Amino acid sequence: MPTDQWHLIPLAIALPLSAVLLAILVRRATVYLLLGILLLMSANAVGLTWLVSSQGPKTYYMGGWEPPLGIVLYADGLSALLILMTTIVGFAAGLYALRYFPTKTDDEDATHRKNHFWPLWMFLLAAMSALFLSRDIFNIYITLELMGLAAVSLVALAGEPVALRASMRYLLVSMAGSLFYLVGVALIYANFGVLDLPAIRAVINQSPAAIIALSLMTVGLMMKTALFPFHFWLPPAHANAPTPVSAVLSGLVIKASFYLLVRLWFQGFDIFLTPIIMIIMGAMGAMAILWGAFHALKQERVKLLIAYSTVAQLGYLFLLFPLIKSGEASKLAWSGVFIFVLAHAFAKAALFLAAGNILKAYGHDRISDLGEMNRYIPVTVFAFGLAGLSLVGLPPTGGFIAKWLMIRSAILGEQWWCAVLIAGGGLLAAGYILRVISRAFRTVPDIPRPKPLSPLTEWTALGLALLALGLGFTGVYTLDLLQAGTPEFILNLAGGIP
Amino acid sequence: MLQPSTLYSLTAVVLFCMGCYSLLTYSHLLRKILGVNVMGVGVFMLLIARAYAGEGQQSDPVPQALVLTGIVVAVCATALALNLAVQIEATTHKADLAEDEENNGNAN
Amino acid sequence: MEFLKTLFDLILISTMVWVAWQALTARALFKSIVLFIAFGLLISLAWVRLNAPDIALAEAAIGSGLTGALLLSALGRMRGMERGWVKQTRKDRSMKNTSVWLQKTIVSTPPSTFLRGLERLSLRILTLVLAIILFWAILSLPETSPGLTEKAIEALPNSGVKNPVTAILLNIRGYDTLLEVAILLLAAVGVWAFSRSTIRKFSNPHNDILLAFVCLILPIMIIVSGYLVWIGADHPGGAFQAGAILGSAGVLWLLSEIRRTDQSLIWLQRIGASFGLAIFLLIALVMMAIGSNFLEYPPKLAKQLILIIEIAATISIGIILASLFLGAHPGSEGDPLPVEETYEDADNQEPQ
Repeated sequence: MPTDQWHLIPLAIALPLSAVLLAILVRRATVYLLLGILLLMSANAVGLTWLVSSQGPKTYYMGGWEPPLGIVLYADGLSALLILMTTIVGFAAGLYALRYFPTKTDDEDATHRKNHFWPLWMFLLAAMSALFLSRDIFNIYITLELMGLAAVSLVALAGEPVALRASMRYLLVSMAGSLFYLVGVALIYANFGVLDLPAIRAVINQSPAAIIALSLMTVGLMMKTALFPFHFWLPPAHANAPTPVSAVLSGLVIKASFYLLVRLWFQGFDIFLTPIIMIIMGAMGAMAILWGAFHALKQERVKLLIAYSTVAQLGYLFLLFPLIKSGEASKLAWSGVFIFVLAHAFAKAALFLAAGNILKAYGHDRISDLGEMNRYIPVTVFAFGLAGLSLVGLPPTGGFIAKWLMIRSAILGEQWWCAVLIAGGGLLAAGYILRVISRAFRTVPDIPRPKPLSPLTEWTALGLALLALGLGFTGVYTLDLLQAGTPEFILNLAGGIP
Repeated sequence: MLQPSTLYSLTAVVLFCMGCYSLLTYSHLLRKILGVNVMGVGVFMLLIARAYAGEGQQSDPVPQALVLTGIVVAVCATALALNLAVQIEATTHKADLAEDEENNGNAN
Repeated sequence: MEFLKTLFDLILISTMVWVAWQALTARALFKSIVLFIAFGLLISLAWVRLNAPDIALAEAAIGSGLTGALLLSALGRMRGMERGWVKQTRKDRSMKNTSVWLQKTIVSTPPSTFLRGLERLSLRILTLVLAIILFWAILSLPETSPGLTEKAIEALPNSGVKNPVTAILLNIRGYDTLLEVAILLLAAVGVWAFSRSTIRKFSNPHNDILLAFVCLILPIMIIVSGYLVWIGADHPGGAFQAGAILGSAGVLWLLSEIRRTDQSLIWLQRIGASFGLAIFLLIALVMMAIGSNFLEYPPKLAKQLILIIEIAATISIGIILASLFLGAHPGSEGDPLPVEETYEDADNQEPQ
């Protein structure tokens, strides 16, 4: 076991789990304590990020046992950054949740449910931290289940029948996806006897069992990441969940399974990464972009619009695969896609929080019945607009940096269709964002005056949107960070894949 | 071919596929949940069958630990799923997922 | 001898598959669930056959027993059933309307137009293709897989226990188990979120046979549970199996209503359920604080630490599993509805 082990790594998981215990046992003044823990988690994440950027990627042997017998955690630029993203968005949405749930209500059931929000929230954050650090394919399954069950329970907290049904559908898809993934794990272990990704990479060969295992794992993870054509469960679940939950689901949870796909394909099974596979993944991503954007344009409710937008934005992520063609292009693609992940997390969470504000203020979120929002909830409108800018990909936001890198990569690698798609998708996004923003300035007669909003809810939405903007300015530093631990596959693509 | 390992592995596949089919075909929630459970048993059987090392030999303990964990996780997921199903049935008086309610409702 | 063993395998496997098929396609849900429980027991047999006794214990207690109890409880709670099981009686025509309605909600729903013939056929083909692909994968696997058995046996002396499965579960891959205990607690919280502040009462308070049985069996179950935890270090057994027995004891206790439940039990539930994760996490962090790694147990202390963790986990698992069974009470107290219904028409309908 290497001598200098960074204890920050397991702390990233131990802190939220302790928060869970606190939330269950202590209850009353806990909320502020919990926010304190969230701050601690962010500090931990920042520390980890700094360590990785100065000293490179690092492993941590859980229990002191060496692989392949023991479980190893791995922190590189990518996982540190994603954990940072998780803690920041988790903190912001958590702040929002403070004022979101109605404190005095006659609905006893709703009050009872809301009391269970914080433990579930912390479980979700713990699961994601564990997932981003894991390198053992069975441990990944456990973190996936923890994350999925926490997410499903949080969606169900909304209590409405439509939310319950959406939660049930989500749960069934999640369970099925996990089981497909687990079959893959079983086949891999049966064939090679190891569960640690780098160990797998060392012994893998082109056996039928390996190919089939990888396919099943991929299908399972695609189901969980709602890639077209497995996207059907996402819009109802994300739209009908309580607002802070929607923010975290679209911003963070959905990226986790994508991250796992990347880890599997690039750092365990990269011998299977053939041009055909890349094209197929890219094609599915393209379908997602078009289908999602098209449906977002048709939606009548703001939250559903944003949910379909998530389906579309996920498609961009899968363009990573066809863009990995030759040396420089693949480095650009890698950076671009993961900055996209970050920017989208901030922007989408901001959008959902803003939508939640609209819903609270007006009592509904039907687009055609909204009006004069800039007069009553200007901060929210500004947050929505700013986040929308990042989503569309206009400078100087983080979304712009991400798309610009991806387009450059597409041009360098001569994947013209990707470039067109990325640019076109931005136009479509502008379309559906404008649908909502235009209502902000429209004067509509007979609109009942909206209820006043708590400033916290408005400013957290704006805060996240500002982060998406800030990403545009600090993009350079993020780029450097992402290089730490970039898979050799990317770095060594000299001649490139024809 | 008739090694216990292979026999039980193939059985595992049959169970997995039966469970999968059940999940996809039936609309009643309880049947879906049953289907998922049978799928789970199938995967576990695959792991344990391959862990079998022969008469009197120590079976590979790692898959055994994995399956033990898996069984507990499965029961947790089942409990949550059943809980949800009961809630759905109580509020909507139907125990299946209607396909038409995606855009309904004014939930927050 | 070999032939006899293979014969046994074939008989067991065919029975398993047949029971599973029957369970999945039975028209009455009650029948499905009971067959599923039987299926679980057959699976436990298979685990014993495959030299996995720890798993057999867990499967029988958790996978078959508790899951079956959860399923039956859920079925019972679905409209009109105050009891956890269904009586089958002959009813005359006058009750037919009510019973048909009950049937529809409990047994099967009207044929949905969701799956037409073509869709059903394509699903069948897809599943068949999946089965063939997996068959191919399995048949291409090497005779004996390179496993981690040797490495595990090597590490055994340093792990503090003699049972390799316990060593892996509680020490070498203890991190997985930590997350698993977290998942258990998560399930409990998820279920609590939907239960009201009053604990649900079962409406079968004066069943003398049940009471007598419970008074007899409860202490035995608690002792067996303790024994399983203790013995798990060197022989098949351990925290999860013991916790499942404890949980079943809890379920029986709840069902028999020996004692009326009240508010204070809620706090007991919370503390008891969190106890396992708390101890596990605490020990892991303490180890980290004194210079070892997170979850690293020095070989001299390992046995004791594992025992402490297992005991805490057993208590928690027992309480959590009983809580899961206690489950959610949707909305208001259930309406009392006639408990008898008939299954005359059940057999004539397609399973939904």
